[in-house]
Amino acid sequence: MSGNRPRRSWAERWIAVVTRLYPRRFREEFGQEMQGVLRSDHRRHRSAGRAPRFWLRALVDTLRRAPREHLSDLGLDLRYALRALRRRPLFLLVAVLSMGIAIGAAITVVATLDAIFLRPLAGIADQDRLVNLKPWSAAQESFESASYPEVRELRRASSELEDLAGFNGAVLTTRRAAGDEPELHFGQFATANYLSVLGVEPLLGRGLDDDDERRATPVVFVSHWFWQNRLGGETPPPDLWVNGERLSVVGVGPPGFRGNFKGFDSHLFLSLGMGRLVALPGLEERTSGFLELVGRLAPGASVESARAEAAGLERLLQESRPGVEGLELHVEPMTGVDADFRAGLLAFLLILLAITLLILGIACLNVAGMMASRAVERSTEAAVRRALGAPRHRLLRAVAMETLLVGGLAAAVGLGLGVWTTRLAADAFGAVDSRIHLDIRLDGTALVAAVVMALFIGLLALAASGLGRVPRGALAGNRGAVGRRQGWRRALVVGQVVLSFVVLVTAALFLRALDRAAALDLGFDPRPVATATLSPPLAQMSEEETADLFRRIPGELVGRSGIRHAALATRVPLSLGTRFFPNRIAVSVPGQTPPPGSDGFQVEHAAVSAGYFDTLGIEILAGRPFLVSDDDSATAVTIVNQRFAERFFGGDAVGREISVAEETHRIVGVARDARYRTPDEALAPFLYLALPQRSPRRAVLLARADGPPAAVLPEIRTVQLALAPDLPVQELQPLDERLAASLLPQRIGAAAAGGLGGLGLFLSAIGLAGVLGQWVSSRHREIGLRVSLGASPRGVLELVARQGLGLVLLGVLLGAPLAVAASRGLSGFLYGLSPVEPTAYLSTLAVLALAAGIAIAVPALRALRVDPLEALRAE
Amino acid sequence: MTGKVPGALSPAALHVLLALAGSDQHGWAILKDVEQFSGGRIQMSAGTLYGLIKRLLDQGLIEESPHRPPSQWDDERRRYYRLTDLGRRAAGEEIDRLERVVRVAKERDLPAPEGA
Repeated sequence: MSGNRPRRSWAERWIAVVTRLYPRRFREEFGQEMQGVLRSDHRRHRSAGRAPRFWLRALVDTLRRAPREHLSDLGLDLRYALRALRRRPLFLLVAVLSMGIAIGAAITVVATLDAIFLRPLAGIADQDRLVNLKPWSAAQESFESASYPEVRELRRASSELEDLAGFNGAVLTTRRAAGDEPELHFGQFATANYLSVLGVEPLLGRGLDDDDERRATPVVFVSHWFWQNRLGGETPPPDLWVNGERLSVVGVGPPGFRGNFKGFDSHLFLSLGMGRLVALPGLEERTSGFLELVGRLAPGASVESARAEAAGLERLLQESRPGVEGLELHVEPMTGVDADFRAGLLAFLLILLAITLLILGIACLNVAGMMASRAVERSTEAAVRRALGAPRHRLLRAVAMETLLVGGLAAAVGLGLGVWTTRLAADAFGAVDSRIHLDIRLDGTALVAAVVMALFIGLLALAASGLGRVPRGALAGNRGAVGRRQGWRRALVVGQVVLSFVVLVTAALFLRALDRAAALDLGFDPRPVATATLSPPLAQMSEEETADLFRRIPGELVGRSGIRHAALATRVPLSLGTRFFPNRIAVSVPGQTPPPGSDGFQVEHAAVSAGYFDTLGIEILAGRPFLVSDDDSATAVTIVNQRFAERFFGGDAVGREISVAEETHRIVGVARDARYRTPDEALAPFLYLALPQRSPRRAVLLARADGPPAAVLPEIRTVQLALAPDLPVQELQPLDERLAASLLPQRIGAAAAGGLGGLGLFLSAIGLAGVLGQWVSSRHREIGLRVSLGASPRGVLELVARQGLGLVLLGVLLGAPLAVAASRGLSGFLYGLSPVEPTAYLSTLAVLALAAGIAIAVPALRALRVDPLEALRAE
Repeated sequence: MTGKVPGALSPAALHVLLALAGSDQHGWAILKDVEQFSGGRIQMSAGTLYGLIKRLLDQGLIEESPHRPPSQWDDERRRYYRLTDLGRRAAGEEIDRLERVVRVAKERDLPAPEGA
């Protein structure tokens, strides 16, 4: 055919090309006429000998006009889409809200991941060139700190590191003037090169130098935040009282810089020369390591080359610590997040991300389902329009524009929600520990993520709905075509049930884990206990004054507003500090050989005062509890738990003597086993020491009341202020609240999975009701016929219910193995609960059945109301 | 078609309406007519012309004419356009406005540009 066609001239081709640049709708209306005009114009120009002018004119005109026409075309589509959506407010609401909530949840998790793992620490130059060096003691199975001479020697010996700094974090009391209300802030005592190793450029003034360190000049370097919010942003910054000593501020950090830990903001930076403020050991003491290490890789060096070198540096540490065996030096990239936290936190956030993505999937299937149902409704209309010559692409465009609009609105809802939920997430971390401050925020990343997700769900929904494809034969009322579309929609509903099932099982497992944690026997009763942390800075209170305060405060409290017992302890069981920072002490037992390479058995311990066991409700099984008379002038005594007594003395421990940190202690009692680090830990030997014999500088006050513990909190504050007016009140809260933090992952998991699972269930129910509604409509005639032939209402109900339950059952059958696979990932959070815990699955089934029942009831009742006469007449 | 007369017309739109004021015409004829009575100062190309025609159709100022020339002169690919009543009114109002402008300009002795 094409062979017979005359060859087209260049002008013809040019005309065809430029008209093609106009939008299709415009071309279809005016294309032929335009080409006619262009041809006439070309003839005219050619006969005047100005053909090139024509070519140029046609091109310029097109480049000017075509974009405008495209724009106006788009505007038209937008208007149609808006009109179509306004006609279906329920569709719009459900689609926008479900997608919006899912997007909001997903970007919150993404923002949290970003804040903790992705975003580099602010104010620090080239974080990827920084490494943490960590001495690891194989015998103690824990990381150790380095002493000042060790830092100096490592720094000198390393060639892979450009420089190496040591630092030690501390909580400091600050005030602007001598009489002000004191405040607590994190600070770092560090070697003089700390700021330069981190690559921190002071915004004002200078950093700290060797002179400051050597001469112990009373100076401090503060964060930009501290300068702005606590020092009024004044230049030069005013002096500051830190732990009772007046320091001058020599420099201010760049905006954003808050030390080298994510979440734990440091605002004060001091030289090691000022270590006396927190009673750091003497700098030349080799025996006491208290410094963590951060180094900057030398040009050309890598983490691997630093690791290789570290193997040689281990020898240096060994020489520095005679008698200690199996010392290793680990090198890790500096992430700002503690390795202990990293793995657990990452796993937890990834679980949350997976849940939100499942919900996104449900929302997507839901929107696809609703669109497919529109396609069925519109298939006749669409067929008519196609028969009248409307091209398929126009129908597709209209639907695509609707999808884009719904997606855009959903992204907006998601971002709006995200503003609120990111704050919630930051607060959740604050609830774990009031000192944690994470900057979880919606930034460009979140915005892009929201838009991409909205587009993705929209397009996926569009593709899944099969819209734009007009079933052949729809015009002739061909039910087969509609039926095929119905099949699609049923598949979508089954998909929703599958995903909902997985999310609901997850929620149920988290809830069961909370339940289980509550039912676990902790060995003590936290409920009636109120707490406060007492941490007097050395500069403010001498050791004697602190000991005096610790001795007096429990006695002052007992008897006031229903306080029965009060005591002090250096560690609170199940608090985060206890969980993440093991506190072992070397114990030798006569006649028992300690593990090789170690100077004794490493045993977890706490120093507690008289009254501790009564306060926490820990039973003394043999011997006696600590008495007020067990002070520093009396014989050193200790109380052990059951495990300890059994492990070392076959149960009969009272009256025996052991050596704790190379000092002989007499065991005076055996206490019932209790959980210390996690609610489900394996019971292990534990040692209680008498607090007055240990003279700690920090302790937690515990008070057991008759009523709710919150009621006695003001009383504790009053007593503390009376005894130590300068001491800030810290962490004044019921013990239950402190413990709650250790269950926070389960709480958040249950809330997130439960809330999102509920949403997923609701969406599935809507989808199910929609499909059944459609099914009832399409079977109008059949149902009418059945009723007129005498079918009972029950029979009709059964017919509809069978349809619906079939879909749900299929979803459950497919969802169950998926849920089992998914919940294996949760096992770290379940307190030993099996991931295939039957209760979780059965309760999920029950909830799903209830929702399905409601979703089926609505269309079923409609089926009952079918008037047989009318149904038959309609044919 | 009744309706409100839209706001000020662009010079090009006014010229198209003027071209149709005499008789119903197809696109190429409109283009040539406009060129002629504007003294060659308004030279539209196909895209500009049909962009205008589309907008004028949308605004109801012109419509497709059912009257076609005798078949020996007709090209079936062409469409003919004519003024609606609304279009006539809109053109009239625009001419009125221009007349007022010209009157004021003359009263104030504003000289016409060279060569006009």
